[in-house]
Amino acid sequence: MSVYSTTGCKVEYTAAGVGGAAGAYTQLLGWAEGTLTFTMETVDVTKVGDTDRALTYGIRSGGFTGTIIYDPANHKYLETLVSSGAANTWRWTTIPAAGGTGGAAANTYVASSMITDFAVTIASAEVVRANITVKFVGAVTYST
Amino acid sequence: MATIETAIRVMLTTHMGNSTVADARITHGYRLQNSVLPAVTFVVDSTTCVTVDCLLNQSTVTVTGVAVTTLAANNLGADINAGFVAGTYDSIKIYAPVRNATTLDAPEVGDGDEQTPATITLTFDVYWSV
Repeated sequence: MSVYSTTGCKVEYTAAGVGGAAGAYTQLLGWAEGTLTFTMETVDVTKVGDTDRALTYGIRSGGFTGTIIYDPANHKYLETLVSSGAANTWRWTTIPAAGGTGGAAANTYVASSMITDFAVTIASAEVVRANITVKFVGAVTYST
Repeated sequence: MATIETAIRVMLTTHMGNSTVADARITHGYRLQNSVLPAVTFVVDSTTCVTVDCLLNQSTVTVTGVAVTTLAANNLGADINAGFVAGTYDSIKIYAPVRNATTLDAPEVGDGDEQTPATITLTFDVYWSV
């Protein structure tokens, strides 16, 4: 098996304009941690008389939650995305190109997404951070 | 070569009043037992990456001020606190020093080796990048 370092993992979004197509990506700076989630709802289609539960697929959804070291100078565009409510193209690189053993190609996910939650957190003896939640709008393109 | 240790020393010598503690008495980790007081020592306990790209690091720094009396140590603590200022030192950018804890210990009075000066120990979290 291979083990991959997080060095080179990236979160990026298009900065060409709110709702802009994939193109010029801006890297999310000060990214401290995050989770990329893919969820599929299921519909229970088990019938009377079945001995095993049966499921069929439903709506796919997902998104990203992450924590950033908040800097208004770097993250002003996120505020713009929050206030506009519009979807934008985001790209997540979970395994960078040539990362780890045998990782010749980058492992990326691209999706039109919108920021649904932006929370600035303040605590004693800490630096200012922000938690962001991004939800997919439409399908996710996976490439490796 | 610039390191977080050299940067912290430059920061302290820049912002602590030289009349309070001379440059030469701000040392890394150790001071001679019979050296002139007041004096300041510091150590970087640990350094960790705080962002995934490791551009931003966090170091925990313990600074000890040594003085003859409790009051002098207490005042030295205020000077040490004033010595932590965000800026660029020895080419390292220090952001947002955060003070976590302070401990003031009174001197012990006795004969010979039984004597110990007053100390004040401050712990900071320092965020920095090269």
